[in-house]
Amino acid sequence: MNATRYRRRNYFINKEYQGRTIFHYFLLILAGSILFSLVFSFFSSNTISIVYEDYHLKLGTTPGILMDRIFSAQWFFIVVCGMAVILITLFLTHRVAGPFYRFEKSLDTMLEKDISGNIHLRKKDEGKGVAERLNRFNTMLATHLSAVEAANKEIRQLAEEQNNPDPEVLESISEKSRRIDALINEFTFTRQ
Amino acid sequence: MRYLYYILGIFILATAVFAFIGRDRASVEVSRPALVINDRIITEAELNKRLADKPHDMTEEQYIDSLIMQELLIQEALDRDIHQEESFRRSVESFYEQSLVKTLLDRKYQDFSPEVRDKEVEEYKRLSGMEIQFTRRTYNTRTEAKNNKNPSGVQTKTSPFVFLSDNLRFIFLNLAPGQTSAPRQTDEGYVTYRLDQTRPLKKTTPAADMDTQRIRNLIADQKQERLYDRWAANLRQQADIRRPR
Repeated sequence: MNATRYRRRNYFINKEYQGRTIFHYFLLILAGSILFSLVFSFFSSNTISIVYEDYHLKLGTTPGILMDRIFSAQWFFIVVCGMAVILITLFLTHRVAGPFYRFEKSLDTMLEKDISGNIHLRKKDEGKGVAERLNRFNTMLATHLSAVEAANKEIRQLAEEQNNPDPEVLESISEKSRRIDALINEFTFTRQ
Repeated sequence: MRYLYYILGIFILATAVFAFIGRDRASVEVSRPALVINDRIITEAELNKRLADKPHDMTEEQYIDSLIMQELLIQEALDRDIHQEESFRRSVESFYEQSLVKTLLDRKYQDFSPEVRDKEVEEYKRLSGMEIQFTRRTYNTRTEAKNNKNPSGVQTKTSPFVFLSDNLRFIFLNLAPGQTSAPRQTDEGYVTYRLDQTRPLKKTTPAADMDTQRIRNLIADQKQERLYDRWAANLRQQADIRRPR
């Protein structure tokens, strides 16, 4: 078998789901950063810091003296870590959003009675179990439809090979057999 | 996509808040450099501020020379990482604590503004022409001192009032003959003074000719010291002091 590699080019597949997840993770980072600053300020509020900077000595409560630095660090953290969170979350969520998109497309095809397709997911995608079961279901359905088609053909042959058949009965069997064939032929599938 | 716009909005808001808070830091005082010592730049504004504190006995050039030398020494000390040494940290700590205590005591002394009555000044002047006979008793405990029991030492002395220490003069200023002072803790234990008697001096000493203002200041200083002692004792009494062994 040829191992076909499926490389996804578009990572932003489900804009609503992925956008919401990215936003929630970003809010988590933002809240964590603010909470850290508040907790740090609270725990260091009764301490004194002495800073010697640019040949000048500064003395005051630790949160007061370090406020500039805390805000700078926080801004840097929000921007840099925020960007990182956006990219990482986008990359991680496309492993869920991609398979869901694929399932939707496959189920649409199946609703149009085409069960010939196979769902291919990438190695690290989520939902490989569901994809495998859907593929197995399609294969099983195709096998059963092929068996029904073959049995229908045999019934028609047996009816035609009868000595002195009742024309009305023969016509009725033929009619029913044609209807079964028509129903089977509505499906697109690989004959087994 | 709207969620990405929300994030973009937060980025912009955070940058705006950061810029707003940092605006004071960014708005540096614009002034031309007046003195450049290696990487240290002293601006004209800073130099003028420093020159305002120049000692009177120094010329401007001398002061700038000393400033340059001081900056060079600071830079050399920083290069040697002396500011990161434990001994330096300890000396800063000691200076910090001493400054705190000094500031507190200065403020406390300012708060104590005892009133000096004319009667006290007159009594002082009267005693300045007297010879004092007193008994000094030493005790091991405060209770013994209060009850005047089991003194560990008893001394009787006679001296002109003006030759006594400021402390003793203040004590006898507030005692009538036969009265004993409240016990005071010293290195020897608890000490009380009893004013036995006063006798006029046969010959007044020059030290007795103190002007009224000096007498007032002396009494005020002694009163201030007593108030401070009382405040310190109160502080000690209210504190939770333990010495676990």
